[in-house]
Amino acid sequence: MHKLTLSRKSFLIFNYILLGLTAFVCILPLINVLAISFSSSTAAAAGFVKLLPVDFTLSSYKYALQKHEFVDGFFVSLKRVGLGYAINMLLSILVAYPLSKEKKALSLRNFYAWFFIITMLFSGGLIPTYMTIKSVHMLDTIWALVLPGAVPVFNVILLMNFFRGLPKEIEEAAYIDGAGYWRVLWKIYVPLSMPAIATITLFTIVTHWNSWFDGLIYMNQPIHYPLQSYLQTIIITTDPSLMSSNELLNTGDVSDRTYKAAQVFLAAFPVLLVYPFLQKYFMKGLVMGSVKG
Amino acid sequence: MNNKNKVKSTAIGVMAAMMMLSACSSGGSNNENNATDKPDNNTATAATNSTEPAVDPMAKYDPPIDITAWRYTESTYQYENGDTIENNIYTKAYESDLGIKLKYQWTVPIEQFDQKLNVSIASGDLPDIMWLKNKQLTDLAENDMLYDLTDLFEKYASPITKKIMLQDEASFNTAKIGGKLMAIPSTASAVDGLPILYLRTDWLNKLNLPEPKTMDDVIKIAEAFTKNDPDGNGKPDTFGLGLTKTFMTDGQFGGSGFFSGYHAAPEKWVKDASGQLAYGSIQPEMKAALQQLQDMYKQGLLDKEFGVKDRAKVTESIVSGKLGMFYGTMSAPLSVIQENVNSDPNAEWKSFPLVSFDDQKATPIGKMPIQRYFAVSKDSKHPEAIIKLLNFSMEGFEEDAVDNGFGYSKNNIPVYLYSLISAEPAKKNLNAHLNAIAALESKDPSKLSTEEKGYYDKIVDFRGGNRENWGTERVFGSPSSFDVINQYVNDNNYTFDAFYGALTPTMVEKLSSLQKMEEEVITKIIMGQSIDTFDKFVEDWKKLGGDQITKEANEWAAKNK
Repeated sequence: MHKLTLSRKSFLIFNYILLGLTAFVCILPLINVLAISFSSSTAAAAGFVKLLPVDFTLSSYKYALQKHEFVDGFFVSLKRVGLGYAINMLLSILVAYPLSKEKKALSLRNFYAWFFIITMLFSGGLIPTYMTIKSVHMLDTIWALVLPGAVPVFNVILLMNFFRGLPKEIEEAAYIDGAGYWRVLWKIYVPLSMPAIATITLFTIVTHWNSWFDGLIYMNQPIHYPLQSYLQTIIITTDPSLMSSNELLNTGDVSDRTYKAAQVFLAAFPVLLVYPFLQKYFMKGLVMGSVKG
Repeated sequence: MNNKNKVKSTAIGVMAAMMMLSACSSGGSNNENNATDKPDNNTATAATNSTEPAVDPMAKYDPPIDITAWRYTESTYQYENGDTIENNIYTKAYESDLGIKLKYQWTVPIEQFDQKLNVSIASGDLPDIMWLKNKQLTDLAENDMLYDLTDLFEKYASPITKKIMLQDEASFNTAKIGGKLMAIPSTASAVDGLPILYLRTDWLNKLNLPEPKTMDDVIKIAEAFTKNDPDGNGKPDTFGLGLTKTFMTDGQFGGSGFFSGYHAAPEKWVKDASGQLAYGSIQPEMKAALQQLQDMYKQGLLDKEFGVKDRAKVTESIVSGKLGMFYGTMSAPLSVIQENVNSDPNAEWKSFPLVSFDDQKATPIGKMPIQRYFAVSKDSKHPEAIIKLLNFSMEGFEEDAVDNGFGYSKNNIPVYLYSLISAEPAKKNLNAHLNAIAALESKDPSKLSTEEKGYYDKIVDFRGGNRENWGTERVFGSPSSFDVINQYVNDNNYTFDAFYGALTPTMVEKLSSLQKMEEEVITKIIMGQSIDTFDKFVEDWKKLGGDQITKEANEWAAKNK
């Protein structure tokens, strides 16, 4: 430990305060949502709730957990994350491994690399993609949510760079001992790449958990919506010009704000849970993949 | 094993019960069908000879046909007994009474209707019957993708259907494109959308102010509500008049009622002195109203931040007791004010008719109350099915109609919302108000419909001291929003947007950007920019396509006289 100079010390203090404040500002909205979700609906509607709940109550959570759209959506989302994660990881690894080889091992390597990268730069567009999904009869099934993004190219590149950074000598030693490509991949590359895989795991889970637009477009019945597609419907304001006067009579504008807050928080909760466990890999994985010798 | 059997037998029992129920409830219309079926069969055989084959508008399809459709649903829809939007009293009756098996291609929450609709239309996969908005109706009709319903409506619509649909011909005609009926409009009560002035009367009494008779009174009240501390907390935290950032078009916290006080009609079409259609936002009457709003903003009578507040945010000001006056529609006591009444035992509000700044009456302006259209795909094999479905929905409005549970269920759940094709008679809600009032006076609710009885019960409950039902009293009871609307109707003092056709080509192309410019300019003027900017805006508006739009609107008017 070297001694800190005064200016260094004051810089550090200032820095920590600044970063602390920034972090605080980032977490404020979340705390506010949390506080609203625990407050009585009148207090929330009047805008009295800031950082602490007013008239503490759990009724919003009871409501949310009884609401079948929410519960259904939750399970659709779980299914989607489970299936999507398995497919994404398997394909990412299988694609990244050959692409990480030299040209002499895989002669069309550049062609394949561009084949994938092009899809990152250009997409088919909304309507053609929709029609493709429709013509293969995937509309209104869980496959429409996981198969179109089955190969996440960004993750493949991340993983490929990580594979390249691993010492070649290990691989060569394995070949000499009689291992084939498959064994090398699963017994050496994958276990050694845990930081990168953890990072991709986080990306994949968060992406699948948070996407809502595909659910809205590809699902034909609201009961098949993943959670976020459902949440989108409760968060955006309804265009009153679409509603008849009778429908307007049934609409309470604000009284459901606490319910919304509870559902938003419950939906964010799983991701909040996953983050701390994967975060230490997260930094390492991103950086290690990016600098290669 | 045992358990499984039990489940099975209960399921069968439930199904049997359900079938019996639906058989009972549809009994009335079935008999009618049987009665009319016979002559129809006779005429059908003789049809080839006669020039005009008689059609039975309610004949059942045998064998049943499949009809596909799409629609939106709302979070306010309630279901019971395992009903869903795909399987409920309506879908069952469609099949048992009409021989129509309804299959939804998709259903979507109303919030996402636009997006889903546009993607589906773009992919070209249209169901037999679709819910559309004005814009998509125009698009599809122009691309010749819809079935022309003109003759089918003539031929198949039942007398009661025709009566209700044509009650308000102007709004029915909004579904006509090039003189052809391209869709069935979901008609509703036009007067329901008229603006009303809402005031916190407990503040009014506290500050010893009279009820508003003129615009001057309104401004004085706004000033007193801002400066004289109506909530008595010693802080200058209240303000006078509530507006949203989109007040030009909004119903709740809108500006339409205020502008009417100056005989101006922004974002609506009015007839000028020569009988031509003119766009309200560019008329000179706007200036006085804008000047007044600017003054009010300067004095703090408007929320300083109104330019960023949406409806929910302004409602927040109401609930927290910061705001005591706004222009809204008839549903405001239920959807906006109720929470304030819940949280503040002293809060009391009243609705007033619009007031004017001079001795001429202020005339509220509404829009055509058509939110959606029901159209039929050009490729549909049974295009007449939509009229049969419409007839089915309209049966309930027959004067001697028995309540078959197609409106509200026994537990007062609004099942009428499940109906694929629906339209309301004009002034339905106003009549509900009048009937409820009459029943309250005579203390005899026996003549009320299930829906009206629901309002009646809530009003009685409120009068018994339950402030949770304050909103229903103030919408349907008395004094209430509908008292004011009734006054408009009795005085025949209301009018509608003079242009109610499908959007013209230039409107489709330019109207939304022109509106955006308009809203920007007007908000800026209110926030203090010189009133002269308005003249520049008028010029710009005309130059940037407004003149062409006016021309097209007048061409439409000439055709639809």
